[in-house]
Amino acid sequence: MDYVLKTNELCKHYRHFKALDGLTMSVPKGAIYGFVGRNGAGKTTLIRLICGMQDPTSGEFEIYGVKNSDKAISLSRRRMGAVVETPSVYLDMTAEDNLKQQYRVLGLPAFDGIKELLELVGLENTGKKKAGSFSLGMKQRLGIAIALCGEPDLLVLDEPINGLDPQGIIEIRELILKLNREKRITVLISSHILDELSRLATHYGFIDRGRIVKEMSAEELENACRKCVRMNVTNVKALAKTLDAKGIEYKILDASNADVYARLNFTELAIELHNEGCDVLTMEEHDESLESFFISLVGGGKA
Amino acid sequence: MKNIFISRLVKYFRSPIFYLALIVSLVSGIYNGVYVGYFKAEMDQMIYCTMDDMWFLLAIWADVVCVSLCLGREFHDGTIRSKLIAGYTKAQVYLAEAAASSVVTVCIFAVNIIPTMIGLGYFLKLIPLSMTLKIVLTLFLTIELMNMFTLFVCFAITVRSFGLAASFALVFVFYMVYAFTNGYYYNTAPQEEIVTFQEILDDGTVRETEAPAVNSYYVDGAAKTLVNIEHYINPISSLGDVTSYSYIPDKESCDETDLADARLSEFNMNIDPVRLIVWLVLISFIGISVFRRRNIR
Repeated sequence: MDYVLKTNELCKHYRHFKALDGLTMSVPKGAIYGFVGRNGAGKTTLIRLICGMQDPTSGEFEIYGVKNSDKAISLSRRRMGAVVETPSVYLDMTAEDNLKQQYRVLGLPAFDGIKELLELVGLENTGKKKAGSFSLGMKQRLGIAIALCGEPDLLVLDEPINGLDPQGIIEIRELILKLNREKRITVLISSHILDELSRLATHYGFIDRGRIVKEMSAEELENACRKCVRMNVTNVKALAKTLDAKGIEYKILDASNADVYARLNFTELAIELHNEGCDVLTMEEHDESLESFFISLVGGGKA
Repeated sequence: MKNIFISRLVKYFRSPIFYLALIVSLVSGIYNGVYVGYFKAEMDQMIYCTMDDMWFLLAIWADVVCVSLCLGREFHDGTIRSKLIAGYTKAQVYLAEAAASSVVTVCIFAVNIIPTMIGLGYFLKLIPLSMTLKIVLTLFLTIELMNMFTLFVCFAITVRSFGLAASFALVFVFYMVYAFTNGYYYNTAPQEEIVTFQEILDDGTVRETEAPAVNSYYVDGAAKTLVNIEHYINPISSLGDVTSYSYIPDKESCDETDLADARLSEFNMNIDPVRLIVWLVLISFIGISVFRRRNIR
């Protein structure tokens, strides 16, 4: 498998605080890599290092096979676009002027493609409106358009949906999917809004306290997030006794609820429970969410 | 680096702040040239006519405000990040910023100096002396000054602690005040000066008498040595020298040619091009070193 970004034992220390502590990860080409972690886990620090805004304390990373210590890393960064935390836009300029300014920075000979970029991010009708009066979603989309100048192969987005309203979230999500599917751009997206990430990502990297806890594909995660049946019964002890006798895995939630992790003949189970003096009140299929999987990975304690 | 430099210049030239600074500088230049020139001609004080009167300072402050606001905006809007992501090094970004702010500085100073020169030349009938040399030196000094200022601004806005940034800004303000004060002391009058006293007589008339008095600003001894050393290495003080002695009266319009020659020799000693270049390189080196070590947010 080809990787566009690889890190190896990457560390970043701020005096005594270890923002990254031996982080090792790989972003496959063509993926939407969801970088999941709590606030302060080290997501933004990693992105800053990749973008050249900060230097690692130790360890190394590669962008398109070029190590960070290599002078050619500048050329590799040219194949990358990024929106780090807040979009990098001149607030006193229009969307078009912002893109022209980025074209100048990149040294592109002509302003070709600006119209297409504005259409791609849905800002073609902003006219002479200054970026300062844009909504947060529009600024975010303009930030992505600026990151897309120079047609990068890798797009790095740091918390792109933070602070957006539901409509804005949908727009950004659709844009990211469009870029990945139509333009074959690899996307590294960091977020702590796991539900939203699960609608996008093809690969995941779970980070906690500056370390990658687990890397997996969306398929592997789907398998890991186990489905269960949540049963509401009148006598949870009788339910436990019956399930124990069948050797079925379960988890008691409270005095009347339990999760059962198995494919069962529920008619048979209901009859057996009835014989034990327990009635089944409700049953519903329940997926273990990405959140609970993440919590189980990082332990749920405060960092 | 050329690309960032061009993009920064375009940004400056499209900024209303830049044009506001130009207007302030131009107005103060016209005032300096016409109004001050006219009155100094009236007062027959040709030899002390300088361009570093308080109106010239307005051009410096307009420049400082313009550059700091535009540089500050660059950091505030986070647009510096897109340059780093685009593959430029911090050193390249810093040098491009310093170069662009230097060009802006030259523009702002030019619109101040040109009307001043015309005005003073017309009213005081002064002749320019080695103008080419002075223009080159002025350019060096303004670039040097802006490099130093860029260093201060870049450092101040990349520090994480607000308190530290505020302290740094305060130190910079003190430095500016000190530099200008130093220039004043350096160019101060002798230990004694003639002061005009006014006396109201019994009949209500006012009698004016002139008498020597001790100049309270006079610096002597060790303090004078320190002031001299500081004045020699300080680009702001040197800038004052260039502007102070941009015009020397010709022999027909001024009898005090000895004094003019004396000041000219002083001027030449202070504005040594080699020193300027060394100082410029040193400031740039410090700036890049400081900037590279900072974490960009």
